[in-house]
Formats: sequence, C-alpha cells, structure tokens
Amino acid sequence: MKEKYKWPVYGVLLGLVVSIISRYIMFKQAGFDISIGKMIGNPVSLWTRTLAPLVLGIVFFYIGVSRDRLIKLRRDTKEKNKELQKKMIEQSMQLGAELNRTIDELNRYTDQLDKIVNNIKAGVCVINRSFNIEEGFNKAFVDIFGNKDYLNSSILNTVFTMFDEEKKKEAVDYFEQCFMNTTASDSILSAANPMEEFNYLFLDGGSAVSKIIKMRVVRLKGKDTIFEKILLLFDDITVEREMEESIKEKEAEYDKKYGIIVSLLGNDREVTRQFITDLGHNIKDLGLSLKELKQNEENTKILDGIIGMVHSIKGEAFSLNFKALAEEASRFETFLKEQKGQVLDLEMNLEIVNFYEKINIEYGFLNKIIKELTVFIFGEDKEPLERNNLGNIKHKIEENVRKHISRDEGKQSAALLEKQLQIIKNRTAEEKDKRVILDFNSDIVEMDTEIYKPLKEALLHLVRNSIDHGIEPAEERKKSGKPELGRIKIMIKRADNGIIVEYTDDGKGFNVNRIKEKAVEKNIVNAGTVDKMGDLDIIKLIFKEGFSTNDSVDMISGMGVGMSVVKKNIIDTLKGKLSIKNKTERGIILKMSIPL
Amino acid sequence: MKILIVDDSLIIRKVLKNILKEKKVSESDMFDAPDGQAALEILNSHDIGLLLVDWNMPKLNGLELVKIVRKIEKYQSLPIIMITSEAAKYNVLEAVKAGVSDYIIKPVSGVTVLQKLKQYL
Repeated sequence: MKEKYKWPVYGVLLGLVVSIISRYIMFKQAGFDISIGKMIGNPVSLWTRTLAPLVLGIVFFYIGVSRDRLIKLRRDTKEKNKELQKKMIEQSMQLGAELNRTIDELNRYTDQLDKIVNNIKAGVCVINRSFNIEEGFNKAFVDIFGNKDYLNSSILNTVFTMFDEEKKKEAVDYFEQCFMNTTASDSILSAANPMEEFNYLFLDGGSAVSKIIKMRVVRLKGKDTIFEKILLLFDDITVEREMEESIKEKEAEYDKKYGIIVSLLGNDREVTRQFITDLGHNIKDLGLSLKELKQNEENTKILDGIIGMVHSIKGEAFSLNFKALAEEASRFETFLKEQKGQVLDLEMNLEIVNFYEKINIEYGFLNKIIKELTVFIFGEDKEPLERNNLGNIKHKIEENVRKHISRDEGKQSAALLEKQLQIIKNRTAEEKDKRVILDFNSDIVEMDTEIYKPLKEALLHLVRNSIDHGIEPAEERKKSGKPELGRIKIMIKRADNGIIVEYTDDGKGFNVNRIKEKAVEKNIVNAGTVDKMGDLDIIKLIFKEGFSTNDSVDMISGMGVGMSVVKKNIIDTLKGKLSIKNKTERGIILKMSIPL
Repeated sequence: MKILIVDDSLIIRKVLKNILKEKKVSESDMFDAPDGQAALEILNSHDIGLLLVDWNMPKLNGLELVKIVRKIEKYQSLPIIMITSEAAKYNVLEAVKAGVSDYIIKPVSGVTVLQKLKQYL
C-alpha cells in the first residue's frame, strides 16, 4: 500500500486510540459518570473525543504524502543512478573495447612495421635536414655499423667515419641537393650519389674489419613539397665484392691457362718437352746461384751468371709463346740489371728471391697444365695394363709421354735443335717484321746434352741478334741490291776431335764505328785504347758483358746479354773457340769449334 | 606541351625528334636549337614544357644554359633532361647542382629515351 494512504490510516487509528484513552481518563475522572454535562464541560474531552482522529489523520496524511514523495524520489533517484551506472559501465566497456582494439591494431601495426623494417636486409635509417639520425634505425643498420649512440648524432660522424674532409664535403653537398633540389629526379640523384659505394672500418672487439657498403637514398616528402627527411638504405656488399674479385681471379687464371694450352698446341711437342725439362734444370741452377749470391760478397760474377740464366728463360719462353713466364723473366732480368755494381743488401736479396719464386710459380703452373692435359687426354689410370686393349694403348702413350718429359736422356737430336731454332726464327721475324730464312744442316744426328744445351742457347741468341740487329727490313735490302729474304745459315760438322759450327747471316754485318762508340760509352774500353785496336778486336767487344748496340729493352734480345752468352757458353762452358769474320754490309760469319 | 631539343649535332636532334614523334608529339610542338644562345631565344619567346639539352656545345654549353634557364621565373620547375656522355659521379652531381632534372647517357637509343621521357610527357 502506498504511504500516501497508509499514513492517514495510521493517523486516524492513532486519533481513535487517543480519543478512547481520553474517554477512559474522562470516565475515570467522572467516576465513570456518563452524564452529558460532565462530558461537555471538559475541554480536553472535546479535543480528544472528536478532533484528535481527524487532526491526526490529516497530519499523518501529509506525513504519508511527503513520505510517499520521498520514497518515490528515492526510488527514482536509485533507478536513475542504476541506469546511469549501467550506462556508464556500458560506455566504459565500449570505450575500453575500442581502446583495446586500437591498442591491438597499434601493436599489430608496430609489429608489422618492426617486422618490415627488421626484415629488410638492408640497414635502414632516417636522417633529417641537419644530417642527424632520427629514431627508427633497424637492427640490420646496427649490425652493419656496430653498436653506437646513433640517435640525434650526425651521419657524417657515425657512418662515414672513413671519409676525409674532401669526401665529407662531397657528402654534405650531395645530401643538400637531396633535401633542397626539388627539380632533380630520383634517377639523376641516385646516379650522382658519391656514396653509392664506400668503405667502412668495423671494429669488432680488438680487430678492425674493412667493409664495403652500398648506399641508396629515398627522399621523404614533408607536408609541403620540400623534402623533410631522407631514408638511407645500406647493404653490406663485402662478401659479394670478394666473390666478384675471386671470380675475376679465377677468370684470369683460366685465361692464363687457356693461353698456355693454346701455346702448347701451337708449339712443337718435342721442343716444348725439351723446354720444360731445361726450365726445370735452369730453375734449379738459378736457385743454387741465388744461394751463392747471398753468401758471397764478390757477387758481380754470380750476378752476371744469374742474369744470363734469366735471360735464357725469357728468350725461350718468349719463343714458345709462354707469355706470363716470359714477362716474369723479363721483369726479373730488368731488376737484376739494375742491381749490377750495387751492394746487395737484405732487401734486394729478398726482392730477388721474390722474383725467383714468381718464375718458379709460373713453371709449376705450366707443369700443372701439362699434367692436367695429359690426364685429360690419357685418363688417370696408372695401371691400365690389365684392362682392355684401349687401356693398353693409352698406357703406352702415357708412358711414352712421361719418358719424353722426364730428364736425363743423355743425348739430344740435331733435329730438335733445328726445330727450336726455326721456331725462334719465326717468332723473332714476326715480332720485328722481317723476312728471314734459316738453313740448317747437320752431319751430326745426336749430341750429348752437355754440349747440346749451351750450344742451343748460343745459337738461339745468335739467331735473335741476327734478326734484331743484322738483317735489314725487306725494303732496305732491296735498295742495297740484296735479296728481299734474309738468310741465316747454320752448319754443324764433325771434326777430328769435336764439332764445328758455322754460323752466317747476310745482314749488314758489324758496324765497327758504332761498336767503338758504344764500347767507349759503356766504359768497356777507354777511348785511347780503342783507337789502337784492329777491326776484329773491336768486334770482339760485343761479347763483353753489358754491351748492346740497341738500347731498347725488349722481348727479343736487348740488354746486351745476347752476345756475351754466346761467348760464355762456347768458350767458358764448352772450352771451345770462337772466330768472327765481318763482311761489312754483307753479313757475318762465326765459326765455333767445340771439343768433345 | 612544347619541347625544346638543344644539341649541336643535327643527327642527334633528328634522332630525338623521331623518337618524340613515336610518342605522338606533334611537329609543331617540337623546337630545336644547335647551341645555348639559340635555345635561350626560343625559351624566351615560347612556353617550353620540356627541355632536352646536350652537355657539350659551342658558344654556351649545356650546363651554363641550364643555370641561366633556372633563373628565369617561369622555368623554375621545368623538367630539364641532360643528354650526356659524361657519366662520372662528380659530373652528374655538378649537373644536379646546376638544376638538371634527369639525364640520358649517350649514345641515345630509342628505348632508353622513351623510358625516360614517359614520366615527363
């Protein structure tokens, strides 16, 4: 029941109770006299008897109404509060959910960004207009350049640490263009990038590693059209570069190998075998001489010997078109010539050993290729005898090849000598653009290796010298009434107790006056002495070491070693005799007699 | 859009014009000049929208021309493409500093020129 109704009822009921109590009191006072007079004469009784229930009822009604209102208000407020609370909770929950969603998205986004940035293999950083590195450089960036305080520090001091002032200025120049120049396209800017590839010294603990870094530039537009930031992408290309280098090296090696194979195919087999065998001995001898050179203070003689050996290697390698070896020997020879008359200190000795090693390496390389070729052609089986017939044939060929390449055969054929001389004649004539015929005649079929080797060397030098200095170009020969083709004759005859070798050419002969001048110039004789000398004696001066009528150092002869080798080999080594005839303008005749 | 080709070689000018023709540029929109001086006259009397310029030219070389052109109010954002055989880094940076927008390395071939011009036509 509503308070509005409840409370008046309470009021009326209370009024009635008051009325009854007052009546009871009244009766008691009157001694329970219920006469009307007594009743009317009591004012209290009037109030209690009649008005109390009414007044109390009305009063209580108001109480009830107000209570009712209060209760309603309370209820309303409570409800409203509840609603509000509910709404608030709902709203906050919504807000929370939204917030969570946003945070999730944000996290996802950051994760993604992290993933993207960190998954970029390139090191990434962003620089602002003051060239300072901003937040957001990735792990790869730190991996490349190492742990440093990058944030807000200049890229010039953290990344371009190897740059000198000039290079730094260039970098600043370039970045300024990237920021300020709005008309330049990305392509022209990337083409102009002076830091496209640069070196970086990476300090890994105690050791420093030089890295090769590639840098790309991406300009980031700001709110306006100007570029606010630049994104830099770095790649460590050290390994790639190293690989490229090694590929290049390999290619160079293949080229060299190919060159040697082509030379081998173009050369006469016998001559090549002889050359390789000789080369092996020469290198051994050379090694021994170098040892002697180191221990001996009086080294002029030893040095001359070494120069002669290197000169021979150069000439022969050249004649067989083994270019790398020939060039190496040529460099060695030049160096040795420069050391003449100087005190050989440790450094020079080391240098000489270095050159020697290089020659040795070339020799090893040559041998390796020949072996590879042999294996390629004949297979690797060492004992194919038990196999089929083909295997037997292979084995026999292989055995033959090995026997020919192996040393110490004791005797060498004159035919081989002719082949070698013909080859050197052809090469030199081609090089000097001259036309020459070589007539070779020998009564002797074979000779001992001890004679063969120095003789061959002497003849090779003579042939080279004839073509280089003696025989004129075809035009010139025609003018002086000679046949256009130059002619060199070599006759080897058996004598009573040895061999006689006759060497002639039909060139312009020895120019006595020129030899005189040269000999004086080179301090081989003094001017006073040379005037008293006969022509033949003057000519003999060409056999002195250090004499050359041609100053140019070239691959053919040069350096004046040529003729001195002839003298050394024939007279010193073979204990023979050497005589010269000069047919001025008509050529030379050399007679060598070698005792057996 | 009017295009100006500046090159002292008549052949190069013709080659470039033929390439532009392939891009459907009408003959009346193509201008050419054999040197920087002549180019400046055309630039002053017309509103050129794209400039192709050789580096080495008599009288006024390409780089000097570009520097002058960039000072002209209406040509401050004009796309300028340098045609050059100088592809060394410092040369390119020099060109950028002068105001060149892009470059084509000689010898010019139809494919590369078209590729470059695509973004400017």
